[in-house]
Amino acid sequence: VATADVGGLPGGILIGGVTDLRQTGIRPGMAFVPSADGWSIPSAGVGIDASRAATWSPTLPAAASLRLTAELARTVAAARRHAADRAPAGGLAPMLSGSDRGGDRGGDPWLTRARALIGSQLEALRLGDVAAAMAPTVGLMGLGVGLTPSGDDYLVGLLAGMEATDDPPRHGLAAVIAGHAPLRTTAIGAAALGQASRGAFAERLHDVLVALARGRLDQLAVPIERAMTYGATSGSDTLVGLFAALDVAIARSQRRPGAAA
Amino acid sequence: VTLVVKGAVHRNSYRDSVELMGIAAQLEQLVGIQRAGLVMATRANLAVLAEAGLADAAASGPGPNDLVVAVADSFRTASVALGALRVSLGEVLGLATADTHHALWVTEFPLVERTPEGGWTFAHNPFCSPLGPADLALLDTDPERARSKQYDLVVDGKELGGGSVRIHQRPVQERIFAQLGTSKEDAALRFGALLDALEYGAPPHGGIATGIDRLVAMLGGTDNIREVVAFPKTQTGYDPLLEAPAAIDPGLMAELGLRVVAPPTTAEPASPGRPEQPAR
Repeated sequence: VATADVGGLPGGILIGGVTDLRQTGIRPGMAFVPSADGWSIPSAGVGIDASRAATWSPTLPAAASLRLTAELARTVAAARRHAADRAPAGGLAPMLSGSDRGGDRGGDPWLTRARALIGSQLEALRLGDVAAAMAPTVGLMGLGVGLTPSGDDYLVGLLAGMEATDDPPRHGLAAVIAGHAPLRTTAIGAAALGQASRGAFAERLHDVLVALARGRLDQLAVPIERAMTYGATSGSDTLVGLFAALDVAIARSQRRPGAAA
Repeated sequence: VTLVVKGAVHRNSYRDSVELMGIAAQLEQLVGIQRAGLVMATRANLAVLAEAGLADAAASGPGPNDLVVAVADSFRTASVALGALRVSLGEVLGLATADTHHALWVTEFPLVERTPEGGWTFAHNPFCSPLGPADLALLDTDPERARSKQYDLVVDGKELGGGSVRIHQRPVQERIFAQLGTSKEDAALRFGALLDALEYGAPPHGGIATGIDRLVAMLGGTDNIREVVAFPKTQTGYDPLLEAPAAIDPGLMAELGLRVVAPPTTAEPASPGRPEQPAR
């Protein structure tokens, strides 16, 4: 349950007209249960009438489909630069920048481990070797700081990028992620990975992908910045994964005979 | 040093995320901490901690929804930081109960500890007895592992009182002085009477002192000790009931043979020929 400004969430209920849920009596951590016309939150004495609620699909819209062109490569590079310039200090943010802004923060062991695993995973995906990508993918689950560890956020972004480019290896990768998540990471991380494995993503990621598909550099800033404000480092960690998926798909397409330069 | 908080995360609760950020902010404010990490106890994170020499994080068998706080510094500094964090977590996570009291004894304190200069100093005071002969022997090989007969009584996470069993044998006291770098001559000069008394046959002895005002504050459900002290002082040390401290009668000063001498200032250093300030 969240306020409308959070944007669509897989499995989420957004309540309009309020900026702070505490105004409704709803407090963080309260349980909610299904009722005849929606849900109720007994502790707060609140009922949510879903019969007149608008619905939103977390499945990526057609407008978020990306064509693997040189133009997309340039747009992605611009988006990454914009994100890197505004990245927080923690998590995988140094990986947003080619110049590796901030380095490994004096030997941050989580960043060092994630960097190695991501390198192995992406190399395997570039070669189309899905089997070789499995081990580093599992290794990333539950790795890093935060309630949704950085590795989980990265994988959500990666799956979103693969979904938008209709990258075939996503099916195998999603199955492995969905199978291992409950044992490998936190309840919240596993929920996010489970949704992503089914092709369900938050609206803020939809917006980034739609902006990339349009290719309008002047329309990239708002969705990128909005996506990055989610959590402490979750937003930027997710974008690291999303851009990585697009890089791999573009690189693989350019190796195909007759690919556009 | 690591601290594991079991069941720190509840399913799909945004509250946990907020609390994690609060904990991280607390850690960053602690003075002297070289590095602090706050991760969930997932398999991947425990592996990274083990590689960093923090294998003890996995000792209690934490699961993915448990929280691991790792602090890198000297054992003492890290332990003090995590101790403070543990108390605050008890309140934040609702683990501390207000309607019951919990007491425990802290025993087997270290006998000595390293000084920043590389020497040794006492952990509590230089007269505490080693826990046993083996601990005395450790002073020759591994002093930091030597334990003492000190004890603290802790109630609801607060020290209510403490004490120790004291050394009653001259050779043991002299060995401790030697460990602390006190020469025999200096020990004889400063503690000659004590050493002589031990030689004449002091019985084993110890004691404990508890703060009755702290106990009353706990029973009264307040953290402010001034609420239960009969003559509480202000933060500047002024006693408003007794109006102390106050100006001293010059006649009383003269009777006791006292005079007040102003401290030297950097602008006007004291010299042997400088006139003394009159008594105030």
